[in-house]
Amino acid sequence: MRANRVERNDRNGSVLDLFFLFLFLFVILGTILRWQNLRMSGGSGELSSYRLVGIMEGVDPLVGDCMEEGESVYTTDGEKWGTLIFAERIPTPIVLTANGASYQGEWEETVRCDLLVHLEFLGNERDGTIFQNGTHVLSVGQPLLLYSERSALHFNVLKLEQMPYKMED
Amino acid sequence: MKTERKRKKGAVRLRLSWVDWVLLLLAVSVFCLAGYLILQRRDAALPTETVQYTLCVSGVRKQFYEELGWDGLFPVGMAVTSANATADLGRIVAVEKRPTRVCSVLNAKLIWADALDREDLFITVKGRGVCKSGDGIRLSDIRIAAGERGSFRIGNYYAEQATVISVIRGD
Repeated sequence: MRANRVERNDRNGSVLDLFFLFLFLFVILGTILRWQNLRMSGGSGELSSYRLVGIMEGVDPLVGDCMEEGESVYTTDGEKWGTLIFAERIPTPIVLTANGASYQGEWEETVRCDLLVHLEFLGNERDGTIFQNGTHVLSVGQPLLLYSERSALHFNVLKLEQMPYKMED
Repeated sequence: MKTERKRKKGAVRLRLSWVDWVLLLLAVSVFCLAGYLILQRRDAALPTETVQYTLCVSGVRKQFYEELGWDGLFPVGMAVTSANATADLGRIVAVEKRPTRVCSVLNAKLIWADALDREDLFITVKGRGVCKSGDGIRLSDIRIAAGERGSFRIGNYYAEQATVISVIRGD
């Protein structure tokens, strides 16, 4: 009788086993919560669509041909950042000084142009500051480096605005 | 009888409780998940494909090719490598040149003209690389993307500031 009881107690496990089980579960739960916390900016507000306009100055016009509308753009770490809406070419200004006077013109379009890149990303706004994905702060004038499949987007942020709400069909 | 009793006394049976089984199961699933994630990130399994890109080198002085000539400086079929010559970035397929454009002021107007002593070079290079979503197109682990600038050894020429202006996947 006594031997049977001892055997049953052995099969049920000890308090130490239970401690380790709960420790293990807490670690997993903690990791998931931290991940969620980073993703959703501490749970302070939902993410919505924002539009960013950036300027790439003095690039070869062919660079724009390597960007495709609607393709995803990634950070240098390979994380998805957002989507390229479209890229448009605008003339690159040039200023020359001669005899104390400044003269302004434009670069030849076949040689050099500026590219305006329009991007869409998920983010939120807290205290007037926009955060990409709720975590990375974005400001006008800030340099950014993103990659599409075939092109590198080195640009300075020109404009940040919330996308108008889209009605679902 | 005696020997049977002895065997029973000496035998050590490993008894696992249900908590041990749960812990074991959790540990195994965590290891499986880690293994799956590591395998997913491995690049070695990715097949290579042909990548063609164009490098633009602006304002190359004519003195550089006076001795060797264009064909000697940029022989078709010669390797393109990184600045320290450790990474193979493909072979030269074609070389095009265009006079460097310079701007000056004449009668309060900006005038564009060809520079007499410099050329812009457009060098088409073909190589084999891997393409992965989010990681772009890579040749010898170096990312090739239009708009990227850097130093290259193109044939017999060291281009300090060359720009990738076009990238095409496939033949």
